[in-house]
Amino acid sequence: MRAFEYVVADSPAAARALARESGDARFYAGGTTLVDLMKSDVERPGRVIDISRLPLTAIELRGDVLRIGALARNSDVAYDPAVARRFPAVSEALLSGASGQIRNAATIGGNLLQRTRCTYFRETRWRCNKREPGSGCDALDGFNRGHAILGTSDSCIATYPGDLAVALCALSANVIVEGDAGERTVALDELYVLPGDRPERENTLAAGELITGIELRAEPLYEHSHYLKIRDRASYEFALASVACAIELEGGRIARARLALGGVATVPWRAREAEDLLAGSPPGDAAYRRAADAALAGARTRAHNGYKVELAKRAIVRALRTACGGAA
Amino acid sequence: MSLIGRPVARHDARAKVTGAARYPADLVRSEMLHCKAIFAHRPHARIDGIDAARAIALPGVVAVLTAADVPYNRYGLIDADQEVLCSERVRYVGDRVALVVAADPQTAERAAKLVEVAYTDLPIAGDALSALEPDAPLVHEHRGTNVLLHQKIRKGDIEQAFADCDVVLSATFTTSWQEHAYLQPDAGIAYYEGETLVVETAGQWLHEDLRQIAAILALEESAVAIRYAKIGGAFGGREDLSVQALLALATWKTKRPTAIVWNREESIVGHHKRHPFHIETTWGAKRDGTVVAVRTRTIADGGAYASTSVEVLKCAAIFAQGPYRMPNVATDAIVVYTNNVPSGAFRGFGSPQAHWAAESMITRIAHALEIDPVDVRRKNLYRDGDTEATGNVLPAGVSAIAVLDRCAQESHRRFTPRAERHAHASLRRGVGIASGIKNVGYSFGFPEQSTATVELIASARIERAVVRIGAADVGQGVHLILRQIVAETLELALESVAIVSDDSAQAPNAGSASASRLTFMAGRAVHDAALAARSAWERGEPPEATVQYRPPATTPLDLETGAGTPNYCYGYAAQGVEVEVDVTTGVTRVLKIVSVHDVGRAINRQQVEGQIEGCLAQAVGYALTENFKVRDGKILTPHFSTYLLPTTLDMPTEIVPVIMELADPHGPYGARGMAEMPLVPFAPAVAAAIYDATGAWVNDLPMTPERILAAITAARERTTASAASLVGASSSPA
Ligand SMILES: Cc1cc2nc3c(=O)[nH]c(=O)nc-3n(C[C@H](O)[C@H](O)[C@H](O)COP(=O)(O)OP(=O)(O)OC[C@H]3O[C@@H](n4cnc5c(N)ncnc54)[C@H](O)[C@@H]3O)c2cc1C
Ligand code: SF4
Repeated sequence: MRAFEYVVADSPAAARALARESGDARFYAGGTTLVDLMKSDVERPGRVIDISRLPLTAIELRGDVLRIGALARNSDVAYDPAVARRFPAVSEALLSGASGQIRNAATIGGNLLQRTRCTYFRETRWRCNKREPGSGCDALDGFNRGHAILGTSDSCIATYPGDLAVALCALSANVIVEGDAGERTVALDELYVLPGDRPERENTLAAGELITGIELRAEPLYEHSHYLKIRDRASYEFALASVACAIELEGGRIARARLALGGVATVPWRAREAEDLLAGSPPGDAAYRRAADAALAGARTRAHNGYKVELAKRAIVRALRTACGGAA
Repeated sequence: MSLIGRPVARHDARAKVTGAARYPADLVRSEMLHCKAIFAHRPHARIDGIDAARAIALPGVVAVLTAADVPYNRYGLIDADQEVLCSERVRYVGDRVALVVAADPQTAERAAKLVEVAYTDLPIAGDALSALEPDAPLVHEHRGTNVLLHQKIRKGDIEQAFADCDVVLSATFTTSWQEHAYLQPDAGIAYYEGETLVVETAGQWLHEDLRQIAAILALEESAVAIRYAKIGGAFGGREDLSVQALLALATWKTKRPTAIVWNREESIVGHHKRHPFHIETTWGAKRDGTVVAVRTRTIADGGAYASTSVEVLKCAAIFAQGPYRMPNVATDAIVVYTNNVPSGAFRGFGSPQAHWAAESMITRIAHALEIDPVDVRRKNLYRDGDTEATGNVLPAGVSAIAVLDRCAQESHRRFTPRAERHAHASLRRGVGIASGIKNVGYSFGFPEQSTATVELIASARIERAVVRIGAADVGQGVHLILRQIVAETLELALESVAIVSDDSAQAPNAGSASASRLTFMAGRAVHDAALAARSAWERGEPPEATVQYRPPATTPLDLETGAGTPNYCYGYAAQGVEVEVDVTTGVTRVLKIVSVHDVGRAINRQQVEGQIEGCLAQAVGYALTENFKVRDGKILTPHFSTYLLPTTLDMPTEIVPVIMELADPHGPYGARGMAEMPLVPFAPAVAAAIYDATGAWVNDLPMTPERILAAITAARERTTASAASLVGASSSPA
């Protein structure tokens, strides 16, 4: 690991000031992503700003709005009764991620900003446009069974690895960001950017901006939300494909639907077309399959990840069945 | 009461569970010099020059050692074809080109980055099949070929036999590398004690480490001592030297204590793996289920250095037809050099790969003939008095059929009945069974012996005993086993038997902790030495004896025909598994395992169960999740985040170890080895269970979800296609 300066921030404002001052700083929240990447020389911050003790850990339901502090631990959020009851998909997504130990250390803000598990990105001996812009992408023609089939570009096909953001994406969460101009609110699916020809840029945060929390508006629909994750082993592993969904039934038909995909796309992937197809249809496999086909219509596969198309479709069908079972 | 079989407590248990036990990395002290190995990280290249000037100039750097510093730069367990530090050429990513020795680990690491190595990359032999092509780049040029061994076995008249068969099936199978993933990565220290150079690490064979290290440094063996700290697992992965030679070199050069601790990535890149195999096989049987002919061509990737490849391949060759009597055999087992990580010893030693094909095939033969797979196995399994394909009569004590029958009974009792297995639309259950055979001890004429010294402290009666034997306790608990055997033999309390084992200068050569052999071999040596010491005492002589035990001799195999006596003892196993396949996603869980083993005699029942359960975790990984990936010689899975070991949740809650005790004629109290056997039949048992659940066979290991899904889809398409052609046939105009 390279030498770096370590400073502790005692307020969000101080954290931002420390970041502004340095130019190549990183916030340290739970450290579970950052430290790994520093050890493997992928992240090389000159300054590490410890924000882990900032008082941004509250989980509060005020009226219909749930606000979760950016430094709330993954496990505290997952087991929070209001989260589990009003937003089960969020709870399920968190509990399907990583391991108990990591969930106890990992924070909500850090979780959203976790970086791809692409082997070529995390191992400096390979070429990677995301790590070293313009150097090439060894995943395109390499072993790419884990890589994305949606939202890819000729520069990068890395999968967004997280679970939480997929659930938040389906449930239209907002991210609260504090910057020089004060606080702003970003819709979760606008936080992330597609790789395009600049895969090094993963989100719309400006340098030194701090995520202070997320906001979820409780809707009856979300009480029947569900997160389904398919993976290689029973725990401690990222998704091959995952689905977050919510369904509301009215008079024997689907009134509204929410659908997002993980494990198959370069960013948390909201499937709006599929949602539109579901709305108004009677629940059942025919409608689910139609929605699934629509969600994957734009898939572009490489040598080893073709299986993900059908896998994701089947996962969608299954997740919708489960969600509908709950909603009925 | 007899001590044999009793689950008496392990003397190292408390220290291990409280963290007090000292493993190699715990021996490191800050005042030692710290070593950092510089890996090639390229699969094949010529070394044009090494410039260490900038590294040496760094304050705190004591030395940067290169090939020129190694007195005899050649080592290897069987073939000394590997260099401690590469001189002219690197042949795989884990080759070491230089060793930095510095005052602290940080300085060593920084200095390592300052060493400039100029390389010219060379074309690579990227996999076993392409390495066989006539124009393939040569990994070891002077050999003129990449073929390391081509072992043939020929028996009977294979062509005629196939012509006379009622059913003949062929298939191609593949397996991948497997990483040992021992809990503690390679680490250790070296120092001088008087004139003696001491290397203290973890390994599997004190006296072999000693032989190789003394040779490398051109020292008398008496000038070197190898000591083992507690060993955090080995599984064959510590048979080859890794950090030991580097430490010895550093201390010998600097005359100061040195330490090295590899991180996980260094360990994964730096030590050998289980061989990947490509197996083409054809099986022929009579209508009644008698299998009469097996032809197999196996090509294994040996990686850049010989390691134990030739022995592994010979084992795979003799098990090409599984544990079955076979009148007609034609086997070609080929292992080739490539520019991949070297392949070598790993629990099972070639037998799991051979069984992957053989046990899958016998089940398919059973299905083709519509006979129960258990019945087909029973019909063909080895019996006492049978000859192997190598022409010798099997060592006495063949228990394969009894073991299978027990497994079938237990499985039948515990597994979900057929009618209920498909109750759920997408979660299908299936059951499978497989048999297995694996040798105990060294094979093919390799010198096999175990030596022990027993000293008695006696006056009117024998009060205490001290056993000296250099047998590595890699976590399997062999030290307790040896104490139990001596205590039982001398009718002493367990507490009255002490063992001295972890120092090559203090304990005689037991041979390695490998090939499931220590309970049998070391156990027999201490047993015989205990008896001899007691006789000496009874005769009024000094109550001490050193005994070398040698089992019945084996012989090398004839390269062209395979004729010979490969082994002196076999272990027999059978396993039943129940799986649940999610046919929508391919995700498969093992729900129940019945693992039946003839262990001859369980010296300590709890430890046998521990070996079965631990080994099954490795077997589940081998069958389903451990997907070691290499691209152009570079390892893509050098971390546990990408190389997926099974977690506790991936293990079934129902594991039934069944221990049978059909005594071996030579083992101490009848014991025979068992520690590798649970890995041998497991993967094909799972494949058979997946077939039972889905109607699809998977031919490639590991059976990842997408492979299972692809197999299910292909099987469905075949069924639809054959249904369509049937319809076509019946509706065609007469
Ligand atoms: C072995 C392993 C398995 C895992 N498996 C899964 C899995 O299955 N599913 C899954 O979803 N995740 C998984 N993870 C990822 C894990 O969820 C993340 O590492 C974790 O959530 C990150 O949170 P953290 O607080 O530790 O982030 P940190 O490592 O502290 O930070 C991550 C990044 O976010 C930045 N950051 C942190 N907080 C803020 C903030 N408030 N404002 C602005 N920037 C910030 C940091 O500067 C850094 O760049 C796994 C991780 C490991 C190590
Ligand atoms: S897929 Fe993206 S992250 Fe992976 S190597 Fe290519 S550019 Fe880098």
